[in-house]
Amino acid sequence: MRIKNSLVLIIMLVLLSGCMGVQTKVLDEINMVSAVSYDSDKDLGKRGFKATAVTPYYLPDKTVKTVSFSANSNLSKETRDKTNLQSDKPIFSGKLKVAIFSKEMAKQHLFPLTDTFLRDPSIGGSLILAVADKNASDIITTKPEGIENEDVGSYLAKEINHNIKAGLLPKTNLHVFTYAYYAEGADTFLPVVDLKMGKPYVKGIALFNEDKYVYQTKGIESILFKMLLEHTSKLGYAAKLDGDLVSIHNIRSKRSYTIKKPMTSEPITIHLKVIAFLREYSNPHPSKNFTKKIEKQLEQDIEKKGEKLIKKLQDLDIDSLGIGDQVRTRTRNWDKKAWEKMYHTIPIRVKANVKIEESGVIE
Amino acid sequence: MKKSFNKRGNSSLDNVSDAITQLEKSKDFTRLLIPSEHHTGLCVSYFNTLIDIEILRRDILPYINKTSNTLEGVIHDLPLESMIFTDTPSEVQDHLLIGYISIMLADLNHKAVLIKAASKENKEFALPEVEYSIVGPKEALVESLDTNLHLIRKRLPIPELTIEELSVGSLSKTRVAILSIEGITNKENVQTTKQRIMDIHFNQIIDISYIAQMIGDNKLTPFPLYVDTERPDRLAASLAEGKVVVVAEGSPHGLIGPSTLIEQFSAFDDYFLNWVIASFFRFLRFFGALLSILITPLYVAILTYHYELIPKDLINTLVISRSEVPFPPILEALILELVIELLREAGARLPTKVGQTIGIVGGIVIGTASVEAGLTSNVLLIIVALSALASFTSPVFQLGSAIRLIRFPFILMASYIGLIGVAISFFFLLVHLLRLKSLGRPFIEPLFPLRLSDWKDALVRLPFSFQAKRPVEVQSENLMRFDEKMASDKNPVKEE
Amino acid sequence: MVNKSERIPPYFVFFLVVKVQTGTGVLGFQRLIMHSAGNDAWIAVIFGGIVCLLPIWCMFNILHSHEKDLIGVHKQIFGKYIGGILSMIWIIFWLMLSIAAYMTYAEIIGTWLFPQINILPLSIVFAIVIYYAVSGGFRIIAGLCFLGVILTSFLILTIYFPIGYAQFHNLLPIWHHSIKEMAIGTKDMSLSYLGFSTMLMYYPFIDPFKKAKKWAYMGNLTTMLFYSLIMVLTIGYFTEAQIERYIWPTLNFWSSVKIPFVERFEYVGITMLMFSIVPIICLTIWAAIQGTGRLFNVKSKKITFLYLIILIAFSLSLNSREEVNSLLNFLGNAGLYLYLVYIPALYFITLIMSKRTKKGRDFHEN
Repeated sequence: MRIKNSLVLIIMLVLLSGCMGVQTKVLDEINMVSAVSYDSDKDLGKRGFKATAVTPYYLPDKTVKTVSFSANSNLSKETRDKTNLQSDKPIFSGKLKVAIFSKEMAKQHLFPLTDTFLRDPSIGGSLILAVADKNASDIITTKPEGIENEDVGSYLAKEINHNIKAGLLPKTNLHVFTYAYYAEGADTFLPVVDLKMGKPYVKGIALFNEDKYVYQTKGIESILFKMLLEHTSKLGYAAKLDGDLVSIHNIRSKRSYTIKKPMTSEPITIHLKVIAFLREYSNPHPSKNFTKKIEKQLEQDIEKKGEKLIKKLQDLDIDSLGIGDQVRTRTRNWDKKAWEKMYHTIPIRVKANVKIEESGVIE
Repeated sequence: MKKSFNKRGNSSLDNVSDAITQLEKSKDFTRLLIPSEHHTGLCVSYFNTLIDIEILRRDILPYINKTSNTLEGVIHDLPLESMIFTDTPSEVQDHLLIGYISIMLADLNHKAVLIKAASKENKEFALPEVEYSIVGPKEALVESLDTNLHLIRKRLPIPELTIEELSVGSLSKTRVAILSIEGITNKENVQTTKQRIMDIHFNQIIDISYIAQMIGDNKLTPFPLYVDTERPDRLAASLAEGKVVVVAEGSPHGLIGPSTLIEQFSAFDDYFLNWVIASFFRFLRFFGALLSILITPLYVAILTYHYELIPKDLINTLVISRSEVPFPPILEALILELVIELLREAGARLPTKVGQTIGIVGGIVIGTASVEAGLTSNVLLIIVALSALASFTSPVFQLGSAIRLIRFPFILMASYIGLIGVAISFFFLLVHLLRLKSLGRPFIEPLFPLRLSDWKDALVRLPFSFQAKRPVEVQSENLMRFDEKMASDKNPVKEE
Repeated sequence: MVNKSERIPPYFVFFLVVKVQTGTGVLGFQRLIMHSAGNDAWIAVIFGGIVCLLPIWCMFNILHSHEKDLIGVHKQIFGKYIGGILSMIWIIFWLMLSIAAYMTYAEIIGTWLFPQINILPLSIVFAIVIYYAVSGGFRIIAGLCFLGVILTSFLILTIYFPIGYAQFHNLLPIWHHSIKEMAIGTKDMSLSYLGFSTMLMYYPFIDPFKKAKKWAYMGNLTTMLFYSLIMVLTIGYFTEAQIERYIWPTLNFWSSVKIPFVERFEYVGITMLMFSIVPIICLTIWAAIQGTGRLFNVKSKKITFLYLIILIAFSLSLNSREEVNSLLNFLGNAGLYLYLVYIPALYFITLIMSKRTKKGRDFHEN
């Protein structure tokens, strides 16, 4: 009886196996998109764009060839249907690592374009979003010179993740972008990439008003931005103090807020606690207590430049540092509208505390 | 109840004949009454599995038959040199259990003569081949039931070791012996085993494996529900643990029950090695079994449906290795699995030396050739070979076969609905294992029902000093093996 | 009375309670509660857990004084017919709980793993596995719940990864929602704690049942801790406006997991969830089957077939997310009344009756 039952079950299973209706995605029979880019295309109206997708082709000698497909449209998913027409295998986005937008695209609302990434379960929150300084499709279609066994998407993702860990980029990915977009007292930011000698490089940080591009940090501003935004552990910082060049590295910094009376025009203070190693000091005959002196001067330098950066953000009316978010969690009468009105008038101070832990093997 | 099972209450034995009566419960104990002309007769008793019957026939029986009517006279008549004349019941018992023959007067039961007649055939026994161990004893059971009982009794010279004999099979009339230790083994377990063996209705019982299949709690399972071993030391150890042992005439293997899944993963070597090393090996075997079941299905599932899961550094290798393979992953995997099974089967059918050659030739030649011909990918070749290798680590042969078999439904389910299929199959396996019972006791015991005290000898084997309690699984009548306090109370020699 | 070999020790109640409470709810409970209680949702979670101690306490007292399962209690108090109708309500409730658990999991599979999956064959495969488990009796189900807790407990380690992205200052300011909002949050939280009522059916299988009380409380509090941990992390990881858009925020945590041998941990996690969710389906459907069997004295095999066919039929007819959500909402409300109104009421009736019978007995004795 039991054997008969189980036989019936097995036959049922076999019969059903034909109609489970799941699509097979055999690894070598699909094209896995590793990077996409969006350039604006004014011919298709205001929100028209040209989408380019690159997919790696793995060759038997372990090298990787990158093939790109592109299509013009004003809906992201529509471009996928169009690119499918050019492909020899079905295209899947589960291995998408990087999405790059041109500045033109970023100047309009960027968030609607990310909707497809959020909605697609095969794309995770760790997708890297970035803004291209010039043409976005150039960055993903140019194969980095000398890199044979890696495709552009993974290379770009690795490069940006490396710069988040030990470089000037703050933590950024699709999730962080979405978080900042939905947060009440914060604006979004994305890394800016550009090509230099056939290789992509991180140029700075693009700051957004909500999801519209407004400003790109230059030089030291990016480092200050990162220090003012989050705890850092491996930054480098250089400054010119009294004509001598000073460079510190391995910066471990912590920032904290003092907000005495939230939602009033009382000044807000951002404290920066910086611990670093001295790497370079161009003065050949330093005085005895030169580290103390450097610490003092560095503090003043960071405070001056930090306040300048914040003033600039206030003038642009963007709150990329999330100061509003800090105020919101410190008050019981938070009002988003009122805050937005008062934001650019509030005096914001930076208070730095630099400590040089080690100055190398010479004194 | 908590007292350890050490020296029996010998004080309860009043005289020598009581001591002998106590031993008579075992089927292999013989008591001869030899009539004498002048006297009521002589009573000769011995364990026929322990003594050399030749000594009895040649050196004893012809002489004691004659005239003597006292034991002193008997001693005088016998042409042997080492004889013990005693009136202590416990001494009689102890000597009988190590291969002595006792002679006493039928009506005078407080004195006995003990004659050494232990069989010397030790070195004729076979080497263990299925369960070979590098360290430890190298003795295996043979095809003769009496010899096998001798091997077990030699290791457990106690009067409580009881042997019950049954005859099974309408044509073969196979002698089957059920061994247990009175006061340790749960009577329910013995009774269940006995009942199930008596209920066997079959004409021929060729081997103990017939019995294992016929008395199993679940006949649809691929898992062995009893440990099948050829090592007398393992049988003796299991008896001491409180388990029931079954041996049969004509079979060089014994059965141990109740058994657990985890017990099937323990090789008997584990007890000969340091516990740290033994635990590592045992853990390795578990890992091997899981690997063997899951790795090919996971390959099929991930390559067919879940490309997202593969780390990007591995994609390159996988795509290149599969680029020339014309089959979908499922076919590729089934072909290779089948090849490996064929090689194993061919190796098993051929004589040992030829079998080895076939294994190597088949493995290397077919493997590399099929990769070069583009029939299979080399990554899959590694995976399949690894899973076959892992399945051979299981110390019980039947378990290894079960593991290799259940891999196939897993692979089919993996190609059917990917990872969900693998998970469903694993869930089904879990339910199946939960439902299994061995002699009515749960099969995956220390895991469910959760018995923390039994974990001392499960995934890891803790030192012997932790093993004071018998496993709860066997529901032993005497929980303690030895007195924990006595065992830990070592008097270190002071080094001055 | 239940066969001795079918009984299980009281500490299994801990696993049964934890399992049945933390299966499907944990994947997406955050959205609803944060909708009303915002960043104070974790307080609502703790309140919900404490409120649930009351029905557990009542249940134990009811079961102790009658020493029967729920079907027997109903029969004793309300007689054959009214008691039978009341029992039917509970049986339908348990059956619905199992359907809801299955639908949630099937929807996750359909969304994340196989967008074009044909639900009928999937349901049949699940039904076969569930049948195999349920037909093994209560011991097997208890074992599955236990193994389910053990096998999936390592998933809790994955919360290490999203912590790096969490902004815990979002928890501030504490308690700036009104009592009403918090009450709604607490009420919404109740659905996640439901399911422990199956205890009313497995009461005779626990030996000795008197000792099970503390394990049930501990189970409930463990669930509460677990939920509040997840909730605190959610409040830090998402903003309130963002969470409105995510259906299963807990699954989104996994997208930040970075381990070297596997990318996209979501897929592994969803697969592992089977060991968390199928035992719940088994337990609740077992309670319904056992209840029906006790009520009508029919063979459990036939009822199992019937209920599994109902499960498959529901999985075919509910195909949009709204329908599943409305089923979940309905169950949440029904559960609230059953647990917080019906069970205490039954307890009071029991109390009055036991006093009366005591009086009656005293009277007769005099």
